[in-house]
Amino acid sequence: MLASWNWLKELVDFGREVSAEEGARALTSSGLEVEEFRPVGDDFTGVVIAEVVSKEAHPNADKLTVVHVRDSEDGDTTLVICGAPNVPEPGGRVLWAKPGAVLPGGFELGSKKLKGIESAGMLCAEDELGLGDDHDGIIVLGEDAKDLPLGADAATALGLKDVVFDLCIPANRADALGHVGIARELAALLDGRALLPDADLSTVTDNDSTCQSMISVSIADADACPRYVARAIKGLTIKASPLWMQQRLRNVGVRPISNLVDVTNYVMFELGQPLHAFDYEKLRGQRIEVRRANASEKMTTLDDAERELVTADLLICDGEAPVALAGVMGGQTSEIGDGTSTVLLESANFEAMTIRRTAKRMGLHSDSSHRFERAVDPNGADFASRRAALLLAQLGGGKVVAGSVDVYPKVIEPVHVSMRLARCEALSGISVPVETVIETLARQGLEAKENSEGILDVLVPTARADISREVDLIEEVVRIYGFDRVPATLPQTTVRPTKVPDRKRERAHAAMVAAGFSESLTYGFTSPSRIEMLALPEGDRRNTPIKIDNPMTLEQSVMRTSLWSNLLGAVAHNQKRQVHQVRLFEQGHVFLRGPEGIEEPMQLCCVMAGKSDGWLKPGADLDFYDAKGAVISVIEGIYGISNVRFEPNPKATVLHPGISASILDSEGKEIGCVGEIHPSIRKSFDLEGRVFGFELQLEKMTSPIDRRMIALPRFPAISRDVSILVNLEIPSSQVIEIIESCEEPLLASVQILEDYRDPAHVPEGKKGMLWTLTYRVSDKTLTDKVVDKAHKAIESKLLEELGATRR
Amino acid sequence: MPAEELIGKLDGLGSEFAQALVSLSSEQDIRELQAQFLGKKGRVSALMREMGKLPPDTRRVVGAAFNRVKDGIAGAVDGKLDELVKVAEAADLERTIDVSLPGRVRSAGHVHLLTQVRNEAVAIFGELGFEVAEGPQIENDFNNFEALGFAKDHPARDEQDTFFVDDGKLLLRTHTSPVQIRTMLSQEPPIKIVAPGAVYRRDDDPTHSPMFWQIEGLLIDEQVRFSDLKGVLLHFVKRYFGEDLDIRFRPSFFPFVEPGAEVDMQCSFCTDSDSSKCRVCKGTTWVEIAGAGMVDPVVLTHCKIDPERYTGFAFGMGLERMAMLRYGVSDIKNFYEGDMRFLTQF
Repeated sequence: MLASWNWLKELVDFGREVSAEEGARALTSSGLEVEEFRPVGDDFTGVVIAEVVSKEAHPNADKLTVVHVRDSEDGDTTLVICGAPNVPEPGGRVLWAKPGAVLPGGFELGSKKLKGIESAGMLCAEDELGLGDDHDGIIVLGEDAKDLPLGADAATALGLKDVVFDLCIPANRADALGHVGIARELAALLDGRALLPDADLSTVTDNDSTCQSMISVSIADADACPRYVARAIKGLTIKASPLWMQQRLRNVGVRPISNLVDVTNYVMFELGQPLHAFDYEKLRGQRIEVRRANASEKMTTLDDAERELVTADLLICDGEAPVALAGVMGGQTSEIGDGTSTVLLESANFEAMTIRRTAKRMGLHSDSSHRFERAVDPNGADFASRRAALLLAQLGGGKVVAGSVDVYPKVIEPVHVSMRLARCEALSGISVPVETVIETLARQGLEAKENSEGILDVLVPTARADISREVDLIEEVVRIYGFDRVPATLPQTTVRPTKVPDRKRERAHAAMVAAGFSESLTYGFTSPSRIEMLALPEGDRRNTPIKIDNPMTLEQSVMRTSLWSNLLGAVAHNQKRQVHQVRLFEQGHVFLRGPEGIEEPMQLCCVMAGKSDGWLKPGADLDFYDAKGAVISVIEGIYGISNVRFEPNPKATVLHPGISASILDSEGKEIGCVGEIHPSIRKSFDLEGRVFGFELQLEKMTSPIDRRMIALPRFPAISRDVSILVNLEIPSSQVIEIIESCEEPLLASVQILEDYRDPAHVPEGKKGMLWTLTYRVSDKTLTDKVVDKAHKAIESKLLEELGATRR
Repeated sequence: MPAEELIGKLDGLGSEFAQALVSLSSEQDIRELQAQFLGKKGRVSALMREMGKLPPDTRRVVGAAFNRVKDGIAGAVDGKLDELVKVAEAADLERTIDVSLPGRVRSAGHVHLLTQVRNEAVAIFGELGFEVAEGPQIENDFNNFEALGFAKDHPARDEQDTFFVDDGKLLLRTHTSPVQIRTMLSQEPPIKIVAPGAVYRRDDDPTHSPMFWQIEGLLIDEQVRFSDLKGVLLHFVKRYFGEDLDIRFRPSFFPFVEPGAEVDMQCSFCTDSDSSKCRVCKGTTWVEIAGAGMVDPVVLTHCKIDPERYTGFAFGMGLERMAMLRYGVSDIKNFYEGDMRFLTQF
């Protein structure tokens, strides 16, 4: 909410000079944060209040007027040429920018000849002073400026110099949505006394008629409308509001319209009570009814929109039809216009939820609905009505009809809340003396009495709907006493045993980083097209992502069902920016529908593009084995050893059918896949070159357990090689299986050294394989003879079972 | 052969060996030369056999000469070998390279900046006994709003513009606070957790992202005070941002805490001379880092915890904001694009 410092100052007696900066600081520290501090009306100097002494037409120009003005009661007159059509008659008051004045933008005035006559400075229009955008004529001061001394600095004398606070009002502080509420807060904080504006109608009341004879009010739904106060003001003339009111409204972000409309806005910003002014003559049947809308009822609001209503909407109706959408916006039929002379002023109270639903459904967020949604004090309705009636009578030259119609079936009383001082201390950590607590509360308008030892009984005014419990009072005490007076202590808490966390995730993460991959954290949502681009088989649940009902963009309209979609997107993002060496991984949740609702399993996904690491220039092209190596790094990182198996998987999704493998754990359960990204998917994602990657279903993987140490070998090992030619399609895993099937007790390890396929040296359809077998036992040094015997047996079994030949 | 002649020959062999040794430069050649002289079939050994033919009284003199020559040869060999080692070492020390060429790097990868912030925060709170807790990102209305005191249609919900799922039956959590509820519903006090995680709000500009990361803290026990909240957050700020920084609490409203506060820390980015130009704090010398407060009794009651016996505090911080403040990241999008040029900077 925007607030004017001048306005606030009028509503507090500080008993001393308080600067806007001090006021802003106090508000911020108490929870009404001043988000922006904006001085206004201070960007011009040398503009004074002057009186027109005479005016006559310029001899050489039709549109110019020669004006004599003076800026002291018996001073000399000065000649100013004015181009505006509205120069007032002698005696009228204007704003004169004298030679030497500086206008907004740094424009300095001097004396200047206009059509042969020298003009000393100029008479100012609104826009020239940066006060508004009106340039139809110069500013002519109204009756209200009659008592201001001539020659007074205009900015100061007219209160144009102001500071606007942009305040962030917490959602529970509806009382601070008016200047009076903010002023009450300032008074509490800075030892001032809060004041109320004048609402005494005795001098403006016309006792010849009564409001009751003009209008009757009935409320059909008292839950939705707890109170309705109607007042009538007659004999009004519609015109522009005085400058001071216009200026204040502009400062709080409201465009001035006319005196009759401006008053309702002004009082709303002053007291926080939204008001509505109806043209009384346009109301039919001399009655107001507050009721819910009928099904398929319609009405046209002030903004010319025809609104379709639902039965939850609350309406203000005259004898025939709806005239306002309660608490949200007025209707067209009873709108204030040029001919309005009698106003029916509504100061009502509407229930928050009702207003909120209507405003939300219609997308109509008005200053009025904003306040009602946050709950307005029903007991403030009559005061606001009086205040507005007084201003309407004063500014519109009319009289207030005696009395009011005030329908308030169930009066809402202030509540008593008790507060234990001991609880206050236990919760806050500070001890505040009882007198200080009582005084602190009193400054906030909360009457507190110590009924029994250590227990306060506090009477909470209805304006403070945010206070209903002991804890709310404690907050109030600590807040006004000052959060900065609360010391910083450390909790004296109970120590309880903590759980051993599952280290799988953090180990996998560390292993990926150690293996040279950088972590990416992409959005939890993705685009439907990216999921489509993964070309997953029909029936795969990853094809049917969880949709967001109200996405901001199509790109973020569904939840990711795998990490591939956003990570492959990231590869493209990098390549488009000429980053070709891409090594990324992400460890995060994906979102899937399962039999028991939504599942959010944690996965690890890795993508790699570019070349392998080289020196001075990049190394060789990446291949499958780089990705497989990365998988093994992670598995070893988690479990200490690699206990997974890789099996060809021609039905792989996302990956190339021939260059990918399923990753199986030691029990044969599939825990992931690794390989080259399918060429057509690569194309869909617009990726350059071959891209490799893997995916691990972290949730399916067992938790790491402590391993037992295997004794270090004490005796030397002996190695023997086997070099064979075999058919191309024989995988190395088959060779290992055969070797292991020999169950040779002396054999300690098997390692492949070469996979040789050069057609110049190997017959077609064959490949060469070089293996090294290591023999060792734990209790003695082996002899060549023993090892040779064992090795020969293994070698013959290999040759026989693989149909291989020695190379 | 008379003894004198034999001795003369032995000495002759000695000097012959010395002469031959001079030109040799490999250990193998030296050993071969040594074998030619001292080996079983060597020349010195051949003369040795002559000694047996001498009368016994002269054998001693000849034997001494024999030993002298043998020792001389062995000594020369050792000396020569030592010399060779030294020469080789000297030659090795002659080598130089271009140290300005790039190193052969086996790069480690980089931990995402937000993970670094998360881990550091978790560690700092961990020292104070806070355990990590987690919860799902797709939540229900009860955990995300209702149990936290956001009544249906409460205007406070407006501040957390929500993504809905399944026709509004579910939602993407707007904060990590539902983890508070889940923990309190599943565990008896004392409760001491931090809950880091991704959250979602319909918001998109250079400092707001529709998905972002928060870390939430919750402590429920007997005798937990507002001043303890201040102490814990002050400790965190000093550890994470700098020992000399102070914090301040500004009253604020969150439905799930009372009293509630926004927490500012002193701006560490202002230059001493002129804070009014500071880009970070905009001249206020304070920057907002957290929302916090004492857990509202309503929340405890929702979670079946007796608010008379137990009190507690909760706080929440945005990881991106912490990272942006500490590392000067200016556009929040940088965190989520997977751009290697960004990721590898930290």
